[in-house]
Amino acid sequence: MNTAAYDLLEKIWVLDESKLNETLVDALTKGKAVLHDGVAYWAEGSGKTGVIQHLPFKEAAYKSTEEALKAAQMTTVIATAASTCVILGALIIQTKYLAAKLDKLQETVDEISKDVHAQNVIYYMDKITDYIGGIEFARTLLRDRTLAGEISEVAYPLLAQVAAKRNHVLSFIDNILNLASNQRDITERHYELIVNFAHIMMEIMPMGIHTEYLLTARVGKPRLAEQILLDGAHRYESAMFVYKSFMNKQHKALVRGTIGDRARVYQSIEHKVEALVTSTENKLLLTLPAGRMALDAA
Amino acid sequence: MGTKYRGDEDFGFLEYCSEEDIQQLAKLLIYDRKGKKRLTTQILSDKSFMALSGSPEQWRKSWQLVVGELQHFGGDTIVNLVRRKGVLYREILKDTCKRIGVKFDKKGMTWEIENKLIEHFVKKLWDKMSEEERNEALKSMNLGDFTGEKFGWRGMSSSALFGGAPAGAWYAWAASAAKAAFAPAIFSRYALAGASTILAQRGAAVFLGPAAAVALTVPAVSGTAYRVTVPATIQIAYMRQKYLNKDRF
Repeated sequence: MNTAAYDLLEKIWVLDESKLNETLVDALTKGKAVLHDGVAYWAEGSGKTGVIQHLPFKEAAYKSTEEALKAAQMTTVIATAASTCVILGALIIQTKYLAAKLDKLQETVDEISKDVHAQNVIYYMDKITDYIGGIEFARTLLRDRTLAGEISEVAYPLLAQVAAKRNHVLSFIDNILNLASNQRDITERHYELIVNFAHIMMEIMPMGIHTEYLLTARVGKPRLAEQILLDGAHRYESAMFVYKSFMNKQHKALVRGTIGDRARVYQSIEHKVEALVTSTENKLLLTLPAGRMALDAA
Repeated sequence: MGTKYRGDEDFGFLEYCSEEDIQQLAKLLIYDRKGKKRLTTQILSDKSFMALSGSPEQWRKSWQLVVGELQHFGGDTIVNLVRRKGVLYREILKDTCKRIGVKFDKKGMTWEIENKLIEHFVKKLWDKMSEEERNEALKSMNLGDFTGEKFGWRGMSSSALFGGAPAGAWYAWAASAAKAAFAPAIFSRYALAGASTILAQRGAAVFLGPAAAVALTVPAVSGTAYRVTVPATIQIAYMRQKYLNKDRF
């Protein structure tokens, strides 16, 4: 896992397997059900369409993220990946899991804004904080399941907005890494800020995309939710390719002995990058738990 | 001698190298041509090195100790006693290149100078090899198309020949040749085969004689220990090239 174990200060709502109905248990066992934001739908190829059951939840307290995820993997009925995804979703929405990362990002943004050489960067910063703000608001809307019927009007424009902002952010990461890669006159401090900033964004983005997916499913658009997750995963993968290429270029400069005063920054982040590119958590957040849901017959 | 490492950007990549690569570099410093431990070496008796005894990463974790000793080999022993610090790798490399007649741009990057060193070494070796040995070497690097009558080494630009091989193949080949020439007792044919790439392994046998002849042209007695710095710089050039060809992430 690329994230440290954040203490969970509040209890979270997790799946209560004992209250799943027989139809759902049977469908899950045969791989004929898909889960989106606490709702089980008939999967493509099952021969049926629509909702099977709104999943029952129970309150539980875990000492750490690792403990919660471990508990998710103990499930007997639901596939481990799907169950882990449900828990990850709950952690993002209901705990300080994402907030702790956002605080770190905010510190970086504040620091960059102070740099007199970074005026062009600030323009993009606004867009990024817009995205994070949108995600935070999405979390607020998701927090209370009983409000599902009331949040649609607010959620629709929010979802359109965050999707656009997300693409801005991903383009920005591409641009800023190119800038850092090709311009040697960027100060060491500015370089460090850029690299850390890009890294934190890449760490947070899977959670942001997953939050978009959950909110879309919550407002009754599960097929669109699937599409958002698949498209988001694809775009994230492209951004990850750019980020990995950038880091490989830095590493090769170090091997050649030409990295100069950027070596310290590179070496301070390389192990975090390793953890990020091998993160199973991010992979789960960006993968549909069990295929796609069935469409209603036309 | 001395082993105190002097911070050197050109050695920054060594912490990413394998146990085997660092160990091979160390052997070139520790043992002489006959396989006897050099009087001046301090690596094996260093406390931090001995403390790592039994660790599978004993050499990797001691890379600063190893190149620290190389930095001291690169300087004059008497002068080292006074200044108590070694010479930067770039200086060792340039000095070594000058001594064996490599033409290079003094303002060039270190890795560019290493390229020239490898090219020079391979050419020199090549001139001393029979046609049969050359063909065998080319085949070992999957350059079979250049063998037989199609091959005209003298008429061919070095870039054409170097460029035709898989990335780093000539470096691996040169590193194995340097070990065979300068430390044959330590790097036996068997050890050589295990030491480098499969390409070098298959070609290892062909350069043992010619490499020894090349080694004889390097002065044995001098202020700077060229019989140590020549194979060591070739080994480092090979290691750098090897890790340049790998993506880290």
